Order: sequence, then structure tokens, then C-alpha cells
Amino acid sequence: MKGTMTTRLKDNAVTILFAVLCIGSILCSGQPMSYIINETAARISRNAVLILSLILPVLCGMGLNFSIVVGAMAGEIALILITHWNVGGALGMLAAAVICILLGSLFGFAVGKLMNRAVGQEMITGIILGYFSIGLFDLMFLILLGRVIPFYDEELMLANGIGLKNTIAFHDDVKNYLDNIWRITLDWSLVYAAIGAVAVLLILTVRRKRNYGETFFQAATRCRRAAITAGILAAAAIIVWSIPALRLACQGTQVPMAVGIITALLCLLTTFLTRTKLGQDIRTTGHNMDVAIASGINVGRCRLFSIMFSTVLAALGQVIYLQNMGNMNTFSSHEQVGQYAIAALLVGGASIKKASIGHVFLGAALFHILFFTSPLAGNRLFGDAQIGEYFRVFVGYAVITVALVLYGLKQTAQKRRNEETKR
Amino acid sequence: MKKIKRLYEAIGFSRLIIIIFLAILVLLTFALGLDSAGITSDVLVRIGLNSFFVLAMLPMVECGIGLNFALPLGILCGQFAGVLTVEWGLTGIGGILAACLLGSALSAAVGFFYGKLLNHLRGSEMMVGTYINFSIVSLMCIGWMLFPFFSDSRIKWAMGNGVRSTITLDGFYDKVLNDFLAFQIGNVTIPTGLFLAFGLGCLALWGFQKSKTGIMMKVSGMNPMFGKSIGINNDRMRIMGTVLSTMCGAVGIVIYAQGIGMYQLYTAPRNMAFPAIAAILVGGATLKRANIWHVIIGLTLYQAILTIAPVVSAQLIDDGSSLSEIARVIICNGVILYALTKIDGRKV
Amino acid sequence: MRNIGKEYYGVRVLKNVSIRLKKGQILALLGENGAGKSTLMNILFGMGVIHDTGGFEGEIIFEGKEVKIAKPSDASELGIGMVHQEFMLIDGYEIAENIRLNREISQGNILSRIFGKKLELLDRRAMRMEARKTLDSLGLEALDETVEVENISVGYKQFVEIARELNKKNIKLVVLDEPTAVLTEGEAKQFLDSVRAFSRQGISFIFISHRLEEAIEYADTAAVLRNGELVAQCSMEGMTAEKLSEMMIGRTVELIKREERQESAKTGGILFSIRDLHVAMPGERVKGVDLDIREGEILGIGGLAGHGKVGIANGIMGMYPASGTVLYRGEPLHMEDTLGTLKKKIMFVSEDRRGVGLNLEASIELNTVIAALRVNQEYLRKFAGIRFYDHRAAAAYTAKMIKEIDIRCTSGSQPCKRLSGGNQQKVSIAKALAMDPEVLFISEPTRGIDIGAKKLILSYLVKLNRERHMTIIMTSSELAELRSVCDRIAIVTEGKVAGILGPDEEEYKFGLLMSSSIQKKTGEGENDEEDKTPV
Repeated sequence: MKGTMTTRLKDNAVTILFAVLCIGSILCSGQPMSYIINETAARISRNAVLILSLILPVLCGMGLNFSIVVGAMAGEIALILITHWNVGGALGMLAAAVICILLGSLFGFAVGKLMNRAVGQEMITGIILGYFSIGLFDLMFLILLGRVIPFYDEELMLANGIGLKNTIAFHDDVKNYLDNIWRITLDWSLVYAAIGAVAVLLILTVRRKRNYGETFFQAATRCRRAAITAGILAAAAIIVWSIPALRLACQGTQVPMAVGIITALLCLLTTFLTRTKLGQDIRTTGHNMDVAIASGINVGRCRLFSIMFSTVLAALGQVIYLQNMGNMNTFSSHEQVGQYAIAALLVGGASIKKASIGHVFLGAALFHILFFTSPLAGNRLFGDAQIGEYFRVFVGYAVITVALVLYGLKQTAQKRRNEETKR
Repeated sequence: MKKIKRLYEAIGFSRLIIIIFLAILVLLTFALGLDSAGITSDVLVRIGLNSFFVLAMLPMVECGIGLNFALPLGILCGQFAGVLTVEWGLTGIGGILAACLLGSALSAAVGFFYGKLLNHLRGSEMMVGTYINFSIVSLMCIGWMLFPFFSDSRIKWAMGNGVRSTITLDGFYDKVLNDFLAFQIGNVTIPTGLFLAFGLGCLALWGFQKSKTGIMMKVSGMNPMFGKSIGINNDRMRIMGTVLSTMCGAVGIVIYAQGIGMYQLYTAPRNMAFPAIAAILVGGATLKRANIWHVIIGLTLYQAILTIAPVVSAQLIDDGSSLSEIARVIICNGVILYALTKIDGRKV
Repeated sequence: MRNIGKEYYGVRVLKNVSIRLKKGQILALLGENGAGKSTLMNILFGMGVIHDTGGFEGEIIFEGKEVKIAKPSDASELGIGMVHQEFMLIDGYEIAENIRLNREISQGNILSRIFGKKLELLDRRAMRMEARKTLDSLGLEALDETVEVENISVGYKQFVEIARELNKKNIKLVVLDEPTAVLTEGEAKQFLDSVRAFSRQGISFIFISHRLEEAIEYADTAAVLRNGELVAQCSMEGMTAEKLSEMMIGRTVELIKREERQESAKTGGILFSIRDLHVAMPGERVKGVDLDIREGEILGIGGLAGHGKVGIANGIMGMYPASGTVLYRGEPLHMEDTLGTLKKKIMFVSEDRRGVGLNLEASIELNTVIAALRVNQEYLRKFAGIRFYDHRAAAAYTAKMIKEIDIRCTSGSQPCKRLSGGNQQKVSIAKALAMDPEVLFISEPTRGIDIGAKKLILSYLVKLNRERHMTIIMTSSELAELRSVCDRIAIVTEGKVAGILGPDEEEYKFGLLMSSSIQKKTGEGENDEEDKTPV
């Protein structure tokens, strides 16, 4: 028992360290609870889909997909187009989603093909590919647009009719559109979320009961993940409602339900995929490519699909993120997308080989709490916000470095062990 | 036909593209009537300034690790040493030598530990290297804010914490090497001191390759099992390669800084490994094989493009500076990307 | 009668082999390593290697019809399955998932109706039930199908492998590649009993094994291959291990003329004393070898591939982790210290010529002198206190060796990868000789070499032994060449020395030693692999 406890602690060392850092940083920043909760909720809602997009490539054994930058660009192109066409509201968002899916698949296909030529070095290829595609994006929208590509839009482009402006403000029916469709305060949305999760659990349980002929309780315990999610959400709701101070803080926080529902649906889609035949093939590829090939699985296609799905999700995620921001830095808002999403996922307890939806949300919360509190804390401690700023950048990189090193060490040890036990 | 094919194979795809691109640029300089002598001088200076960064790739590839994505480790050591020499008020060649020596010593220690780490991470050196680079550079940012070693007003911000983001070398050793024994051929200035340093670096590495240790490192890098069978300690060879590479990085930044007249601190070193990597790849190196000629050819081609492109593009279109910047990004990363897809691994 | 007849008219590896197998029978495929067993099976499976190298001749007749098998999936569609020697299992998956790997049972849903079958959800319960049925039919009621494979013992993994093949609905023929090598005696018996039970139900098996007694007991017929030719396909009835092993080994033709047996081989003092040597070389594990080597003799080490004969030299030279004691001239030898061993003038020519023995990218010259340069500080000259490579001395020595052992090359600066196999081997030997060794370990010196070079290398080894009094330990899979060169031959089977024979002993004795028939209890030392019991 003690052994499993220490291994548990060791396996989740990064997450625990981050939780401690977050608490420290919150205390040092001296901000009120309501501010912290408000910011956290806002950041989780706008970043979750981007982080979620990383899961499938991890399961497929391709590591952390640094090339979601490419997906983010697809999302940005979609937003530029709907701004240009001046469609907004629900129709605009739908159009953006369609463009995201089309462009994302196209880009993802290209990225996937490239990754299939660099087996074993996917991550470094992804990083360099990200930089490379930033160059292409700039070339396209700064130099060629208006010069070679016939396109004119006074609002979006620089005065001379060539290239896009550095910042593009979205129209009012795009800006925060998804956020504002339906907002409720956090205390109630927790209750709804809990009810929703319990409902999903019930549906699963009933299905299981019917299919497998288990008793109700057995079936409920078998749907472990759904049960845990429902339990956590219900507990959170109860805690918030029973502590007045916390409830007061939550009441000040508006939760964009539309974004929440979209995120939940995409989470369900990802989970669904992992449980299908396709998902099983992807996981097999991730576990052991040789065995997958020998048993007749089309490994190349599994990898291609994972990257395409990831790219599409990243495109949608970037749309959600940018509509929340209200405007975009045309040439820089995609630069760090991969970096931050990956750091957040790792903070949540994921590794190069495993990742789950739980890691997405836990990671999003912890990473972003540290992200916005550390400059404040730095300011209070050192009298210089810059130190906190550097600190958070360092932490983002360090998390990924630690994950890479740990994984590398583990792999070397594994290789050695394999060699020794092979007959 | 066969001859053409063989020639193409000898040049390689990325080198061919770069050569064609460069040829177009050169033709354009003449067509546009630009100051070709001035451009040539600039190219020469930039070759000299960047030489050690590209040389640094050599021992790393030689010992079998591959390209050094964590070159900024050495650069940071060099910068630290360089800023210290400014703090101590050392000037002229002496200042440069002191910075190089101190930087080398520091980077040897850093490279040793980095090499030790890499020995446990076979197969993912490039990825780990990139991220170690990123995190150490950002850690050093905090370092520059907090280091208690500096007091000179030319180094510290007048107000607030930390050292300035650029440390100017005016009055210390600004362009000392560039101007050392420099002479003119026509209108072209030859930066003799710079090339002397580059030549010394090449000679040292070449000599090392011919020495007993160098031969053993080469053998171990080419085929570690072979190395093991004749009693070579592969791990030690890899550490030695890493140390040499990191030291080259430290010397490289001192030479670079004297040429541009300042140390650029904080996040500036972060992306300095990529151009050096691209340069040696352009020269014809692969992730497994590199020699001095790859360094010299690659450096020349790559820096020539980097110098000529902005001048030409500024003439061609009004936002030429951003075009050349974009071209730089695309070329640099495109070359690396191409090399990565050429790893003789499995294809699926 | 459904029967399989196959005919190949191969060039080198397989010559005109035809074997036939009836439905519901067990065929034992026997032969030394390199006899062509695996090539034969690769052809049957349409493995990529076969087609990449120009296909094969002959035809495969399955169930009365001629079939084309171009890729592994063709084979599995026909109902041909294989249990590999390397486990093809996913460690992180439960047994049921492994048994139904890429044949998962799934249920339709709305999305799958739109986007295709790939999006059907897995039906784990049905998969587990299917797996359960197959496991039960193998007599493995105790094995829980939901346990992850990484938590079960090696023996059970073998059962899971075969369960996966037998679970296939249309399975008609299963190839078992040395299935009992990792099993204990009890497990092997249980395994083969269930194989026999399945054959009664009409499934045919091809069974590759080196345990002749097993083959005699369980197989209906035996097909014996030797040097790519079919020696015989005969019924197992009344067959003895002696007869089979004689068929496997065959009469040998003398490669080089034997000289008089030298006296020193019998009287020489003991140079090496090896006790309880274990070497963790993947694929060639050594599990407790005791061996004495006399000064001045040529000792042959023979045996089948995978039984550890190659591991001995590799372990002593520190290429793989080794334990046990090795005394050299009465003093303990530190095996992990390769450099120290080399300094004692003990040299090694590796069996992996292209991977370990040579640096293919480098020149002949560098390959020849590098070991002496490393170990004895030769071919160096000092300049300014630093030792530099002495190109002139190295070139001179290389030229001498090129002449002496007739390395066919354009010059010493030619890269080794451009040389033929035989000439590469000569460079390996030149590399070893540059150190002027007293003891030479040489492994598979003639593998993949044409007959002319073969003779030259073997007689050169004898010459080294006679003239320079070099002690030579030669490891080889080819018994014929061991018998023509060596003074004594040790046969290594299952990681241990099964016996030492003189070169003139009768053939079948070698065969018996190799086939582990006279090993008393094979299951003894292997219980340590039983540490993990299934839940």
C-alpha cells in the first residue's frame, strides 16, 4: 500500500508541484477569490479545446503534437474570411466551423504525410514545421495577399492594399458571440454540469444494464470514468453551495454555456473515438507499431487520421479562443499555441505516451492559474512584474523539458530491460 | 544524363534549391545595379561572425549525437563571461581573449553535464536539446534580473532590477577582430582578424579530427558497437563531443558580439541554434555525417543569401524588410524540416 | 482430401523443395539453421522480404487450388496463421484485446452508419467471451482474460499467441516457430497436447522445433531440410532421434585437407577456464557455460542459432552484460573491461561483420589499424605533444595485409562498404591481426562468403595456429567447417555446453547434442521466469 502511494506521488510529481506553486502564487498575488475564480473559468473555457486537440496524437504514439500551430492558422483563416464576408452570429460561427473542418483536414493531411516520413522524430519535426508554417502564413498574408492573390478589404488590410493589418478586430456579432449566447453564473452552471454528468452516467448505466445483464450498482461502478466525473462535479457543486464566501465568488463569475457545451461535445467525441475500432487501432499503433503492422493495421492511416483530427480540433479551438479575445494579432497569436497547450496538458499529469480528458481540464486550470497569478506575485515579492513574467515562461518550457527527460530516461530503462528479458 | 544525375546527387536537393536561389539573388544585385562590393564585404563579415556557431555542430555530429539544438547553452556561458569582462573593464584583444577563455571554461562544465544527460536520452537528443535550450534561456532571463555580480552603470539599468537587454561594447572591444589587419581589395573589405579566428577554429577542429582522440570519436560516432568492440568508451566520446560543441558556442558568441558591437541578452539567444543548423545542412551535412567542408560551404551559401536577400527585396518591393525576414524563416526551417524527413528510418 | 503441396525451385536458399501436409496433421519441419526453414515459411506467408528480393519460384496449392500469396493478409484470409518466435503482443492490452487484435468485435451506432464500420464501438464483453472460449479450449481455465499481458508469465504469453490464431474462425493451418523454447517441461506438454487436440478437429500445424523427441512424439510427419534442399519427408512412425539428426546433419565434405592432429592441442596447458558464464545477449543468451580452452588449440563452438554459442565470445569480450568467472592464464578476466581484455592480446572477430566487426563507412586502412591504434597506441606520431594519426605507417601495414591475405580492392582508402562479403571478412581478420594477438575469438568467419574465400580464410586460420601458435576459438553454425579445422568441438545447446566431441566423431552424435535430446531436464533452470502468476 505504501509502495503504491509513493509511486502514485512520484508519477504525479509535476501536477502536485504545480498545485503547490499555484496555491503559493495565489496567496502571494493578493487577489480576491472572485477574481481568481473568474479568470480561471474564463481561461479554461477558451483554452480547453486547444488542449483537447493534443490527445489523439499522444494515444497514437506520435507524442505531443507541436504542429497544432498549423490548425490554429486554419482557425484564423476561417475568422478572417467570415470577417471579410461580413457574416456573423450563428451563421458566421457555423461558416467558420465548416471552414475549420475543411482547411484543418487539408492542413492536417499534409502534416500527417510529413510526420509519416519522420517516424520517431515527430515532435522535433512538429516544432520545426510550426516555425516553417508561420513563415508560409506570413508570406501568404503579408506579401502575397493583394499582390498576387486578388483580395481587397479596406477594413482588414493595410492602407496600400497589400497584406493584412497587424491586429484584426472582429465584428460585434462575432466578438464574444459564443460566450454571450447563454451565460449563467458559475454556482448554477456547476449544478447543471453535475446534473448533466449524472444524466450521462445514468444513460450509460442503463445501457450497460440492458446489454450486459448486470445489476444497477455493478453497472454504475463499471462506468468508472463517468461515475468519477459525476462525483467530482456533484461534490464541487455541493461545496460551492455550502460555503457562502465561495458561493459569493462564484456568483460573480459568468460561464459561457455555449462554449461549455461545445467543449463537452468535443470531449465526448474524442472519448467516443477512442472506444471505436478506429480508436483501438490508433491505440495499438501507439503501444507498439511493429505489432500493429504485423497484425495488419494500416499504421500510416491511423497516424494520418490522428493528426488530421488534432488539426481540426485545434482550428476550432483557435476560433473559440479568438472570439473570446475579440480581436487577433494576425501574425503572432498562433506562435505560442502549441507551446502553451502542451505545457498545460503535461501539468495536468499527461506524458508523452498517455493523456486523458481529465488531464486536459486539471492542466488547464493549474497552468493558467499560475500563468496569470505569477506576474502579480512577482510584482508583490520582487517589486518587478517582469520577474514573474519570465518565471511563467520558464515554467512553461521547464514542464515540457522535464516531461521529455523523464520519458527519455524511462524509455532507455525499458529498452535495457527488454534486452535483458528477451530470450 | 547519368553525369547530371550524379551531379544532382552530389549536390543534394536542398543545396540545389539554395544555390539556384542565391544565383537569382546575385543576378538581381547586378541587374538592379546595387553596391556589390559593399554587399560582398558584408557577406564576408557575416561568414566570420557566424563561423563558430556552425563549427560547433561538427563535433556533435561527429560523436554520433546529431545536431546541437542546445547550442545556446554555450552561447549563454559566453555571454556571461563577456559581460563579466565588460564589468571588469577589459578592452581590446585582451578582453576578447579573456571572454573566450572564461566562456570556454564555463561552457566546458555545462557541456559536460549536458553530455552526461544526453547519454541517458539516446534517440531523443534533438527534441530534448531544443527544450533544454528554451528553458535554460528563460531561466537565464531571471538570472540576468537577479545576478549580484554586476554594478557598472553601462551594464545595469539605471532604474529597476537587472542588467540591460543589450550591453554595448563601444570602448571595450567593439569590432576589434573585424578591423584587425583588415585590408581592401578594390572596394571589398577583408576582415582579416575575423578570418584568422575562423581559420584557427577550423585548424583546431581539423587537427582534433586527425588526433588519436578525434579518430576514436569519429569511429565511435559512426558505429558505436564497433567502437565498443575495440574498447572505446562511447559515452565518454559523446560527452567530449558535447563539451567541444558547447565551447565553440561560447567562443562564437564573443566573436559575434564584438562584430555587432554588443551583447544581446535575455531571450535573444533562444533561436540562435536554428540558423547554424540550417547552415551546416545547406553545406551538405546530414544528421549523421558532417565535415569541415560542409561548414565552410554551408556558411558561405547561407550567409550570402541572408545578406543579399534584404538588400534585393528592399529594392524590389516597398515592404522588402519583412519579405526577407519571412524568406529567412522559411529557408532556415525548410532546410531543417527537409533533413528531418530524410532520416533513414522507417516510413509508414 | 485437402492437402497442401508446395514446390519451389529456388536459386540458393531453397532448391526444389516440395512438402505436403494433410488436413488435421502435424508436420515437424526440421533442419539446421540456414537450412531454409524460415525462408520457406516466409514464402508461405507472403512476407515482404520475399517479394522485395524478386519473389520465388514454384507454386503453393492450398485446399486443392493454386493460390497466390502476395502479402501476409492474403495468408490470413486463406486461414493460415503463425505463432512467431518473438511475441507479437501488446503489453498494455488485456488478454482478450490481444486475442482479438485487429479483429475486434464491434457494434454499430449512428455515427458508424454514416461514416463507416471504423467508427463502430468495441464490444468488449463479446470479445472477452470469445477469448474465454478459446482459452478454455486450450485448457487454461485459470487464466483471466481481462488481465493485461504485461502481467503474465512468458509461458502464458505463448498460449495467448496461439489462442489468437486458433480464435480465427477460418483457421486451417498454423505455423508454430519453436513454440516450446520458452516453456517449462510441464507447460510444453500442456501446450503440445492442446495442439494435438486441435489437430484432431481438422486444423493442420507446421511445427518448427529443435527438440527432436517432441517432434517424434507429437508430429505425424517430418520434413527435413538441409542446405535448402529437402532431404526427406517421412512418417514419424518408428522414427528415432538418431535417424533424424543424421538426416539433418548429413555427411560432410572436407573443405580443406586435414593435417596431422597437433600434439599441443592435447598437451597444452589450460589457457582459459570458464565457469558458469551467463551472457545477456538478446537472441543468444548464455545460461551457465563451463569450458576449458587449451593453449595452442583450435576450439570449435557449434550449435543452433539462438542457443547461445555466439554469446560466449561476445560475453567474454564485454559486448553484452555477462556474469560468471573466466580465468585467463590463471588470472581472473574482467569481462566488462573490453580495453583491458584487448590489452592482454585477446582479440575478437565479430559474427556481425557489417554491424560490429567493421566500420563500413570508413576506409580499409582505418578499419585495419584502428584496433591497434586504440589499444597499443600504434600508428600514431607525436607532434607538439599531441598524438596524431600516422597515415604513412598505417598505409604501409594495410598494403602488406592486402597482399598477404589477398583482399580484393582498388586501394587501402576504399570504404569497406564497397567490398564483397569475403573481402570484408578479410579486413576484419586483418584488423585483429594488427594487434598481434595471442588468442583469437572468431565468430561465423565464413557466413555469407563464397567458397573460394571460405577456403582461404579457413586455411589461413590453421596457418596462424600452426605458425604463430595462436589459440583460436572459432564459433560457427556450419558443422562441416568446424570439423575440418578444429581440434575439439563444443556443442552449445540452450545456453549450456551439451558436450565436447572430437572432429572425427560420427555425425549423428553432433545432431543429438544440438537437438537437446540427451539433455535430462530441460525445464530445470527456467523456473525463475515464473515469477509472475496470473491473477
